[in-house]
Amino acid sequence: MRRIRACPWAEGDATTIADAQWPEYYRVRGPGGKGAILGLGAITMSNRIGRRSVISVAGLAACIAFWPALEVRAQETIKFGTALSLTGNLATEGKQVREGYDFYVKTVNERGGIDVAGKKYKVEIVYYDDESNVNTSVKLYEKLISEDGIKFLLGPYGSGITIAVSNVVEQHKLPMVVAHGAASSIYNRGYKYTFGVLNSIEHYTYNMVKMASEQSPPLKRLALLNENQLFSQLGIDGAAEQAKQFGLEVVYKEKYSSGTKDLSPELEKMKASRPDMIIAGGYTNDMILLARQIRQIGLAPKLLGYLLGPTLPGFVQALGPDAELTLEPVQWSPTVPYEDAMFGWTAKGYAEAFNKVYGHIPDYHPIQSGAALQVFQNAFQKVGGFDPQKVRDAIAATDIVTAYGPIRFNDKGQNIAKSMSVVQIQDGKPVVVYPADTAEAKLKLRH
Amino acid sequence: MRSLSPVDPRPDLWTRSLWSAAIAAVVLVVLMVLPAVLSLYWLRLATNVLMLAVVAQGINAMAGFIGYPAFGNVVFFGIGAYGTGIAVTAGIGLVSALAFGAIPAATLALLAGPLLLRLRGHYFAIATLGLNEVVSSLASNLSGLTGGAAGLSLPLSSGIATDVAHRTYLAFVALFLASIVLGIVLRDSRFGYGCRAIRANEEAAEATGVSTLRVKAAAWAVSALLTALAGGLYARWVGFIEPSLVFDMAISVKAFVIFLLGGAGTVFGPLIGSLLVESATTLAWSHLLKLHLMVLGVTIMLIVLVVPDGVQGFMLRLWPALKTRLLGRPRC
Amino acid sequence: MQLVAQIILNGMLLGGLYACMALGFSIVWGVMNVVNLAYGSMIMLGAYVSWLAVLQLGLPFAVAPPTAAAVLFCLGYILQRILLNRLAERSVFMTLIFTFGLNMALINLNLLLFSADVRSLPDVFTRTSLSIGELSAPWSRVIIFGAGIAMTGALHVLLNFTRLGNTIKATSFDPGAARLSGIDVPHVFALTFAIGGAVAGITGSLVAASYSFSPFAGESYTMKSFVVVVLGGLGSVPGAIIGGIMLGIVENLASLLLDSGYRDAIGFALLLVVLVARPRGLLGKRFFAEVKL
Repeated sequence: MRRIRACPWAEGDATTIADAQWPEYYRVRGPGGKGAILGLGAITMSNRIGRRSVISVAGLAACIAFWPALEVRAQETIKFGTALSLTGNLATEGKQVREGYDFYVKTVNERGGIDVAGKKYKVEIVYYDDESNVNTSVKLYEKLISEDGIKFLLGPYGSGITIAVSNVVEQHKLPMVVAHGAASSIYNRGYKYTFGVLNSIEHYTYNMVKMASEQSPPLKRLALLNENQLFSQLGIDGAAEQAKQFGLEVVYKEKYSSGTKDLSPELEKMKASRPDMIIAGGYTNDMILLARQIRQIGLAPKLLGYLLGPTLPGFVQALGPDAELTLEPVQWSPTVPYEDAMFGWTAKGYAEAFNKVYGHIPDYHPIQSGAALQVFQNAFQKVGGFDPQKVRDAIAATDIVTAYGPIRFNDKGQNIAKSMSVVQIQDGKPVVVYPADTAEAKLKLRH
Repeated sequence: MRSLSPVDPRPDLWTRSLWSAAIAAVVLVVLMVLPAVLSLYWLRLATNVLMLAVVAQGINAMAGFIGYPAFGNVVFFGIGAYGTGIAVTAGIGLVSALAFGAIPAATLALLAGPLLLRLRGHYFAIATLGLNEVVSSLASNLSGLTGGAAGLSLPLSSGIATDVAHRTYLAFVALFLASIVLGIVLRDSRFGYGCRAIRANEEAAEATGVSTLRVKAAAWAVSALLTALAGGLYARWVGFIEPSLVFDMAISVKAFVIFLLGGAGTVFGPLIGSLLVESATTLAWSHLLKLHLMVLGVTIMLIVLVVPDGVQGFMLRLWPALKTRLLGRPRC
Repeated sequence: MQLVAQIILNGMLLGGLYACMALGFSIVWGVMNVVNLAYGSMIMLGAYVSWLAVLQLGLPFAVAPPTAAAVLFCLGYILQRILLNRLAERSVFMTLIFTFGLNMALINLNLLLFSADVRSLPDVFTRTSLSIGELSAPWSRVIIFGAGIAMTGALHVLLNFTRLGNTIKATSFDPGAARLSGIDVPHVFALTFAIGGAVAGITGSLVAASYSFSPFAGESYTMKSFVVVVLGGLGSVPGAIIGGIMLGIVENLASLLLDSGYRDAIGFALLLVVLVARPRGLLGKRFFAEVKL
């Protein structure tokens, strides 16, 4: 039977990755399809009558009459929807996020699909590009829900955007699992329909500060500097809280204006406070400047940590020896000691399988994406169906172990079962140094 | 209030206002019908079109009528957003909360107006940019009041999604209507005549008795009010604001492009421009993923080069018949 | 006391960077009344050209500034000649909007060609610092400061002591009369914009060597240039360096003595004060402060 595309105008302008995988979606089956074939056959023979108008009317009638036949096919897939940062200044991260989603879909569909109440369902994800713009993203999620009929959402990239989008899904009462929005303020409002698999920003520096307090002798004086921007501000505020918890004194805490080209006034003030450890957060360009100026000013902390930066492309290359021994928290690394209850592989196994398909060892973005989908999968299987309210309740009760880590949500929707690892740049490469069961190398102090 | 001079220069004043009012009534009917036929997604787009049309009307009041390019007008959008946001978070109802945003904005315009409106052209534009940066920086730093860089999250609007979307849409329709009324007033009243005199030749206007500083400040205050109300409703609509979002220069530029495209000094120009720009944006985004910034940039450049007097001006240049139908519109 | 002196010295050196940024901006604005919002992106383009030259083609860094200058000179000439000249008769905000659109297009171009990754040219300048008494000044910043002074000097000579400079100034005062005197006005405007582009190119290569850059990083350069030009005064080439140094010192002192988060606010508040009190800036000529609408 020839492959026939029924009702091409019924598809949206989405970029579905399912196309390459199952062309039979377009193959017309059953009585409806045969009827359409007969009808089209009849049309080709009616040369005398105004052919174009006949075809269009008949085609339209066929679609309307036989749409239920095609609907049957559609029910056998579960559709998710998300907006990604595929263009714009977060495009690199956006690509990794998408690879993670695609890898999950590939893995699951290769195994025949998700088994829910005895029936197998394939997975499909509808992607849109929001270029990391809040207004665009909100618009797109409304489109996913109201136009594309998606009931299960995956979060966008970035905290500010996620906060705005969570308002949309909360009002529509549809569940959304967030893999890439870390601000606590997303979850603190007690919304019922937003869940995050990743550690919140406030938790980012937890293990770094803890590690500092466990040195002998323990580090005591902490200096904090952040860019006047959402992510950095929340992360550094979190570090200040953790310092209290682990007995470090915050001797300096300030924020700098975005795009500053000279941080020497801030660093001189910091130097005067004689810190043992510095933690900083901000845009990569600024963080590179910071590392250089720390050396130029003659600041000599025992530990220097960043919220983000050392593992991003360009950081080590730009700084050379100035990047040595900087610290960064990461959500996941291939060395975490977890085995996936659903797919059976360890973190390392995941990394190797991913590498086979995409040609590079993944950082934490891809597996984080996959973890969000695993939460949904687990919920569907527990519920045995797809009612959004029941699925939401099942998600709230999640308690699973994946290669990403354990996932269990508190009543605000945050994953409280997992923690961040700490990496350090040694010889130009990031290695995990904490916690002990994940570490690949020993922590080295700078001075 | 008719002019006291023996020769009324604008005998057909009220006729034009009536025509515009009639068109406004038709537009209003169409707008009221839309919620029944559009999905929530398209309604959201329509709401966005209306919001931008209002902001563009604010720009129109400044750049189109008194001829002062208020490039940084988005500062009032931000003040409106934060004022309303803080009030709503404190539990105040929306209508009163809007006043918390609109009044500070108008006050700023009235205070800064006499100082900054003495500058012209590029200098005024840059001064408004500077003003925007200063206020934005304050919003980032006064975290106790505004939440600082972490932003402000408003409590969720109660009700089901469809109801909330309809309510928001209707609020924007009301605001849009207000902006149209403002446009008609600016175009057809004596105050508006003074504005256009300032735009044409400020020294001559001063010489003929127009108290330019007062007129300019009043125009800016009204523009600020309108823009702040749009900002306040936006804050309630999206539910989350941060300084880089509501003091964003891109909003000003978009409003400027809409204003240019629609036609300076016209009443319905901002709506036309907004429709065109939003359609172009949505099309460009959905079909030209990697290039859409480029496409928007090139489009902006083309608009400035090819249709600088806007769509209405463009049509006027090409179709003289239309010109006479528009009741002898004076070309300044 | 030594701390304050060091901060002031750092501010001065930072001012050197600001001056480099503002020079090209100021010339184009002062001579042609064009505010080029795409200037930051042109600086970034200069940085990318240098990056290509050094890291992809393997050329020594000394070649990079002239190469970037040449590329941006041509680009600037073409832009002005073909596009911006058409806007010469139009009102002020037309060019503002136009250059904003140009900015978006340039950013997209950089994104497409080079991706959003942060880049830099490592190991170009020595990591050591120059010692001035008890104070120290990193060599990379001293070189940028030196470049700022050099470019200012060169432009000052060009504008005041050469025939081309006289032509440019004449065309700026009265394009109509210049045309009548036989000057090819579009060509002169294009040359001026091209010179601004060349300055952007050199600044870009210095930025690539001392800082890091990415497509969106150009915004902060444009905004700072506004402040420097207004401070130093429009129509004055030495004004760019004076304005730059002033801004650098004020910003650093403000960050030291007040909350660092207000650095940008201080700069823009200063801009407003200058605009209200003395629009022509420190060294600007009165003529330029009266608006050529």
